[in-house]
Amino acid sequence: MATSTEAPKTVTLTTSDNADIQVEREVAERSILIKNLLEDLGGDSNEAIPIPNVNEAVMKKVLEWCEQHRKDPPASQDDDSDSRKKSTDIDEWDQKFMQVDQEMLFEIILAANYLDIKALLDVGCKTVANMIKGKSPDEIRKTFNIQNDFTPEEEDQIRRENEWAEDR
Amino acid sequence: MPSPIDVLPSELFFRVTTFLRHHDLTVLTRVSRKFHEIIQPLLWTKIELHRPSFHEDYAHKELRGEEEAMNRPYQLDSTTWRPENKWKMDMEWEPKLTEFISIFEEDTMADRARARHLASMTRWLCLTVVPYLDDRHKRDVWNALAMFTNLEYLEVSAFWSSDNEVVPLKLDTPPMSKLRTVKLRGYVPADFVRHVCQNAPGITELQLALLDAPIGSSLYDNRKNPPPKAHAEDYEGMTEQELDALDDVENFESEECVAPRPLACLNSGIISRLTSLTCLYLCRPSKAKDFDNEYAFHDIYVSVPADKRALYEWAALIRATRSTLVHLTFDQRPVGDENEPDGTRNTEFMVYYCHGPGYQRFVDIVLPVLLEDDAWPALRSIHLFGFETDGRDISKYIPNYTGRIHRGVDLKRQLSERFPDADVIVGLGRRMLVEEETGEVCSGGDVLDGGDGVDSDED
Repeated sequence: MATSTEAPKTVTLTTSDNADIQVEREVAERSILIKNLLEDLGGDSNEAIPIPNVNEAVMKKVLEWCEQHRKDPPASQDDDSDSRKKSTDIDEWDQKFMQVDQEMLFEIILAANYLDIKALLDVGCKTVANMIKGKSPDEIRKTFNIQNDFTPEEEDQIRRENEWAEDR
Repeated sequence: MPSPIDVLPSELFFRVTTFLRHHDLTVLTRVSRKFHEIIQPLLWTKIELHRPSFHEDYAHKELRGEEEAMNRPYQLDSTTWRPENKWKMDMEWEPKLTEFISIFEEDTMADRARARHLASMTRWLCLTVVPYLDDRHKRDVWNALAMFTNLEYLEVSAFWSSDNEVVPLKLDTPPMSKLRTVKLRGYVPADFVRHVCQNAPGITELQLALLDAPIGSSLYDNRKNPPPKAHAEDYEGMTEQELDALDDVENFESEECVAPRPLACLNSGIISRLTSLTCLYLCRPSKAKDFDNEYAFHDIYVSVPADKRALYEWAALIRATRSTLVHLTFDQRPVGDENEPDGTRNTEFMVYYCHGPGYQRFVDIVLPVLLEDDAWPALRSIHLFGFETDGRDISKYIPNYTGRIHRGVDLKRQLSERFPDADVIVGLGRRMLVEEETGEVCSGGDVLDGGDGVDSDED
């Protein structure tokens, strides 16, 4: 029987590119997907858990976040409420953590969504939102390397239609 | 090279947008066709054209919690919203309203098909109708609003457009067949009210606080939309005797000081089809003072026929809907002139005048219907605002109280006995301050309540 004096339990995750990563169970369980899988497998299975949608590089990055936030309280039920909405504050460690290239940033968001790590998903989405906030359409295009496929007339029409929702 | 952001499926892109404000969303719509397609519906589905906390601020304090729980899609959030500028901000919002509605007004519309498409996206619309400052412009707001044929929620606070010619409703758009909630305040024309209430069986929540066109002799010659002369419907259904009596009471053509009149406009067909109604909120201005009273400073003319029509409509509405009603609210706003000569504040005024002639008429016409011996199987609450002194110590507000004050009939007790399973909640309510020369409500606020904060609750 497991007791608290034993070494922390670990689990093995097999990534999409067939790398095995050993990680403490408590850390891995920040992912609701992994937590549920482990529960379904029963207590003491040593089987490696396949994570077919996430590659090694991204998985390591995600686990780095999970390690840092291993003791965080679980997400509350109603955090989709308005108070959460629109606050794009991100704590300092997470901000540094998210200083990655855009490919990695979007991979982290996809992985957090797949692995069901809501807090990380929010950090990722807030980071993208902060890259959009306060910018002009042209600056946003530059930031994300997006082609402008509007004619000037079309862009102007859309601006006029939505003017009522702009700050003044 | 494709953009890395393209890897995000649209549900994750939506998640990003929940952290953005309306302003940033408007910018995103201009980035690319793909972004436009995703973002445009987010801007247009729910439209709340008020400053943050607008509705909470004007709700009776007993209803404020309910109002906050509505989570309205205000455009600004707490980070940019400066509460100290509340009243000023109501004014600052007006250009937004004008920009918005001009997309749909005949004179300014760029492309009718495009306008129809935009309007078709909207499910929730809450806005204030303000006059144009430039009197060369016609106001075509009611036809503009009629284009929003997919609305489920419509809330309008309409000010009187004294200097703009108003284009009559053409009724050339399909009915708003999806409406569930209809809240109309202020000077909404009768034909528009009937138009939005056409789908009566679908409506579950109805708020009516309607005002008729201002009337009074000082208005005849200098307005683009002059008030109607004494209209025939004022006399419909009256007995000879009542008509005789009218010569004395309904003679507004010579009146200089005129109060706003409530508008009753639902026909019996609409009323009888309101078969799903669960929430009903009815509000009207009422006569505060009995001017035969020697203490009255001066008279404001209040139309008795208009008041009676409103009360008979209330009676018909509750008779027709009592089998489904869950929440019923009556909101009576005794009128006081803009510079209330006694210098009273709202609380004193309400304590002194809530049992005035308007209250007596409610007791005569509506109360008997409430006390009728019919089943109200679903009723959970009755709110009364502006009818009773909510149990407070009158002498605290009127130190030289000498007993001249009108007596009420204790509606709370009577209704509590009649409806033991429902909560009967009494709030002191608010007066309605009026500009006596024009017969309008003092401008500002949510139309019914002036926005300068002068008349806010002091307790």
